[in-house]
Amino acid sequence: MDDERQGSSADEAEGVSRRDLLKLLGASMALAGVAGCNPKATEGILPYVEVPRDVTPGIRRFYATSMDLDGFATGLLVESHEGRPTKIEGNPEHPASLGATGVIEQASVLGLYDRERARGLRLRGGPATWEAFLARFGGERRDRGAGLRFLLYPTSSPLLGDMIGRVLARHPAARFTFHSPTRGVRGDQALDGARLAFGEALLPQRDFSQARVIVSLDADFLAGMPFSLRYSRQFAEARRPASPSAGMCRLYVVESMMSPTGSMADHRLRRRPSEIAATAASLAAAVARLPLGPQALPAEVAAALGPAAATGKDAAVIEAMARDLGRHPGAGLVVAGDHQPPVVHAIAHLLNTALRNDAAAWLTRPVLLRAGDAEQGLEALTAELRAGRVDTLVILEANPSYTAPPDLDFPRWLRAVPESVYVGLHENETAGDCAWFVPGTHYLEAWGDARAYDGTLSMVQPLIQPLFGGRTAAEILAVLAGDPIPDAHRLLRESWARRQGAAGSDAAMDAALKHGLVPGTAAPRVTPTLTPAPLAAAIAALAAAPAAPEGALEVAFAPDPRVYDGRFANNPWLQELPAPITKLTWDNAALLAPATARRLGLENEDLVTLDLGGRDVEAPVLVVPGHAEGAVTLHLGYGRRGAEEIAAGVGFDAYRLRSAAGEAHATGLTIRRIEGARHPLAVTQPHRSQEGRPIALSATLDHYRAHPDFTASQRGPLPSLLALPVYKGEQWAMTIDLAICTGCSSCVVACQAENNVLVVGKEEVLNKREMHWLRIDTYEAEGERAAAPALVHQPMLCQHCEMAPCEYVCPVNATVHSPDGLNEMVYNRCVGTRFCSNNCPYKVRRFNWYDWVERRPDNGGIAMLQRNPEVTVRERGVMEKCTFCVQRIRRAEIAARVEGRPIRPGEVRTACQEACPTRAIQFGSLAHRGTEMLAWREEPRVYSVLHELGTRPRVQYLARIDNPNPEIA
Amino acid sequence: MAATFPPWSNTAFGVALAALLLGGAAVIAAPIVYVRTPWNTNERVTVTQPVEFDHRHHYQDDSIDCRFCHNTVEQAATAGIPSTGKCMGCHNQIWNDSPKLEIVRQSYFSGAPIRWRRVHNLPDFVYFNHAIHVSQGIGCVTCHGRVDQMAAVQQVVTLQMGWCLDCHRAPERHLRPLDKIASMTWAPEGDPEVLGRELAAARGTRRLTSCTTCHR
Repeated sequence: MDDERQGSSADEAEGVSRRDLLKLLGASMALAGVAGCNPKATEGILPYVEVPRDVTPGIRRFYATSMDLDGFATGLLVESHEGRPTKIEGNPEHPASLGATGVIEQASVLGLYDRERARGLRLRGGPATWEAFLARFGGERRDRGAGLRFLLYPTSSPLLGDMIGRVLARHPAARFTFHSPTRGVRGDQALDGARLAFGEALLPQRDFSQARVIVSLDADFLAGMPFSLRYSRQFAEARRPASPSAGMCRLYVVESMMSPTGSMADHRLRRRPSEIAATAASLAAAVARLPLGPQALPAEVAAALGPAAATGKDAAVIEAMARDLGRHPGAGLVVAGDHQPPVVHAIAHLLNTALRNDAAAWLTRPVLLRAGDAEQGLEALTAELRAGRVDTLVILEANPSYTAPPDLDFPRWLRAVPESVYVGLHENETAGDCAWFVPGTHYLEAWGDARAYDGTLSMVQPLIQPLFGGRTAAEILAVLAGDPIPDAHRLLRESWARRQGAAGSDAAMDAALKHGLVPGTAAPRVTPTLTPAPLAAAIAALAAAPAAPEGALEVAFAPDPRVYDGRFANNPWLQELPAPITKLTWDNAALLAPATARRLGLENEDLVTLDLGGRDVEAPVLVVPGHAEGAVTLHLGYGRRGAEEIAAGVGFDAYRLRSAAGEAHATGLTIRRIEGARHPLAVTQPHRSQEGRPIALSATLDHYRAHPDFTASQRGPLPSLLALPVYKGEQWAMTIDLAICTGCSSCVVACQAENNVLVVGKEEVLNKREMHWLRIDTYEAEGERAAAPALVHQPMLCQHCEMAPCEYVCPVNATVHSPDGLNEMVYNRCVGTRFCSNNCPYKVRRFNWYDWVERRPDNGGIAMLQRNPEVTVRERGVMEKCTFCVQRIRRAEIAARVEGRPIRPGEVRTACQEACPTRAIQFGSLAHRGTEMLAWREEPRVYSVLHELGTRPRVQYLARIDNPNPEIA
Repeated sequence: MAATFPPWSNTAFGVALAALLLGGAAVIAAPIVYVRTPWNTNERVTVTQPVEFDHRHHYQDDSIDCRFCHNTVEQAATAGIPSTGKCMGCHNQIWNDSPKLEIVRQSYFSGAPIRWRRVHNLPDFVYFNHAIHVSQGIGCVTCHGRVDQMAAVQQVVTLQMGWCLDCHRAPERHLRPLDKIASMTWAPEGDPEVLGRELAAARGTRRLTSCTTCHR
């Protein structure tokens, strides 16, 4: 027996023997033959019983809705195929979108079809019913609600405001906590900053298109703020040099971790998080010394700024920044990051007021709801829980068991509450600590409303019935307010009618639903006056504060650019998206500067213990050139411990290090390397140097003006022995302007959503088998700006070469050229030799090493409902790559020919182009006239990547132009 | 000593050699032939539908245009299978107690769709669009045959890529005036090629043979 067992295990160890392989081959051939003889199973066709109004089977429709993130709405148009939402586009009419989308909006459609969404009510682990929930929570209370508490995300929804009012009318002693881990625990820093500067809580609003000089004080306004999509568009308007003589805005960024905004900066000051306030004060001090005229700065503020004047090596830079701002009165803009302390916001207000930047910076009343006396903070709520004064706690969608600072020990006190209710999409950490669980709704299933950052009232309408019987927050609040049969649609209509009064007709609401917003509802501008005394005191306090000790390590906590605060961690598209700048997938890491890593003896993928104030976590190290020295940035949102399988075990939980204040940064971090421990990081682009090759070209504006033809060697005709193809009719092409590509990566997710690009997982990303058709390559600029380090982002996709190297080598003609200039990939011809990929100089072809649907359950099951029905899902063993969204081209062609007209210029838009917040990607036909795509190709800075190979790419790039201040050497 | 190989072995060897060669050729040729036969293409196979719907009656006796029921053929990729509501639009008045329509009535009152069985089935990587073919002047009968004479609809063409390309390479022979799209009996006077060339020139009908015309 033993011998036999050993014998068999020895066989297994060797894998399949040659003999077995031949047997299997023979058997599979025979079986394939048998299978071929089977008559095809007939498919069913299920027509509608009654065709819904406005639906034509086979023709997609778009509906306007809004996605709310921490209280601020972004207007969207959602593509629906017979009632099945498949793709998110931006709503061009909506101020927060202007037609563009970010990565989170793009990926949200997959969140709807998340297989790990909770499917039913639960009471202490067992199944429960909605009726039981109604009976338990819909009744009267004898204590006027003194033991009733609610915790929810910050919200701007007038409907929720109404519902909160109704709850308070019935239970006047109830209290509400608005909790967002990314905004800190003690309230909104931006509002506090305005209170400091103007004596009242006001929300800063900006128009970057009006600014010639922009100073960002740790504000990632291009990718990490509520209105970033709009800001990006405005920035691009002011930034794009349409000709060598055109003006460009100038961007100064003071920050710690390199952000997309920092990567666009003309001058970037690397500062530890704690130093940013001092730098802001130095800048203000430098501005105060400018001859701006009397009363530009209140005298006592100017006096307080005296000691803040910059010293040291960067003093000249700060002086030059101040002079630059002074030279552009009314056309400057100083913007402070949301997580910066109030004094930084106050200094930004001070500078914008002193420089009369009214066109670019103004204020409005806050947009987020306040519950007045009925509102309490998370600390106060936890104190009540600890004292046992709460008998019922209703948590709507927020996940405090995961995000609350560990000092508060929130999960422990939550478990002690007699009746706790969690309403959410997943049975996450908080759900595990609550007695009741009620499935929530995805925004694509919900009726509701919200306000954009500027206050515009935006509508949320469902694209589909709740898949798992979810309930909206408004419905849950209505139960507590005594509504026996709450219905989100009815609640919204009632609330609308009540609020709008005479104008609250159903027709008006239908119009609002159709457009996704109510025009003209943006918050009006308020013009407060500076309150010099508190401002001067705050600045004096800042100057008096001891500087952080030189050697001490600082840590900054930031929401992750992909999974945000962790609520999107179960979305595999976001997990697999290479993070802007770091290109890290499926992980977070301790991000630090090369010099810091050298000093601590660390290198990439070293596992370290991070210790802050007695709490510690283990994290891998990732070195980020451009990061401030002496600081570590940790992205929140990883290390989830809930029931979500995709999110579980990915990354480490940076919340564990936060103190009770939940502040954005802290000092006193210690790092200990764990000897011998490594954690592989799936980074898709580990090498940033161009090695002297002309790939991502860049120049300064002065250089561009002096040498407009600096890209001339990288374009134009090359001698060829082959006959050049002659093209007639539509000829599809793309132009990408690197000067305005911020590397935000929403195009990458948009492409993934449109083209059914599957997820491969961390192991396969490590094997370099990721499937993204479009990637953002981030290079360090060559030449005069190399020392900065200055980055250039280059979206890289199939270049649709006219003389395509891939086509010559395919033995089965699976990749061929179409008459309209597309490099076509024919999946059903491909036999998987991969010759094409080897011969592609741009490395944009992707091979299906596995049947990814079979290999990863998150690609299959309910996620298949998201698939674009107009695009084939590729099988194992075939090559794939960007098609220029050929399905969109053919759809437009068919529509045009059915209507008997030519395709209009601009009619075909690729998914990446539609998503791009800055409009850096332009697509169209070379046969059309008057498109931006063509106009850009006439600019002198146009070039082709790897031009010298003679591939004649249809994708052309415009070189990145920076506009550094000549006063700063 | 008797010869090792008797005289007939020459013949046997020749026959065996011929059989081997022919057999080898047959092994290669047989699948090539097979995929072109109706066994593989499902041509002329009667598909039994849940409801005994008769196109002969509806087209000939009642003179109902194809596009009355298949009403998205001019706009969408699919021609459209009529909803149960469409059936009941007439059949709540006529034949409203026919036992043959029991399944239709069940569907209408229960809200559960009728599960028809597909006759013309293209592979999933083919993106056929009815609207563009109809708008260019390809009639229903060109691909679907004389449905007006079919008791149960059958596939009358191979629906293989070679058949598609025959027309995509030279569509002119198959074009017809747009008002004759749904006609089952229209035939051009004279040479179809001559009329087709005129129509193609007028509409700008193209010869589309690039892969992404149909495969995406």
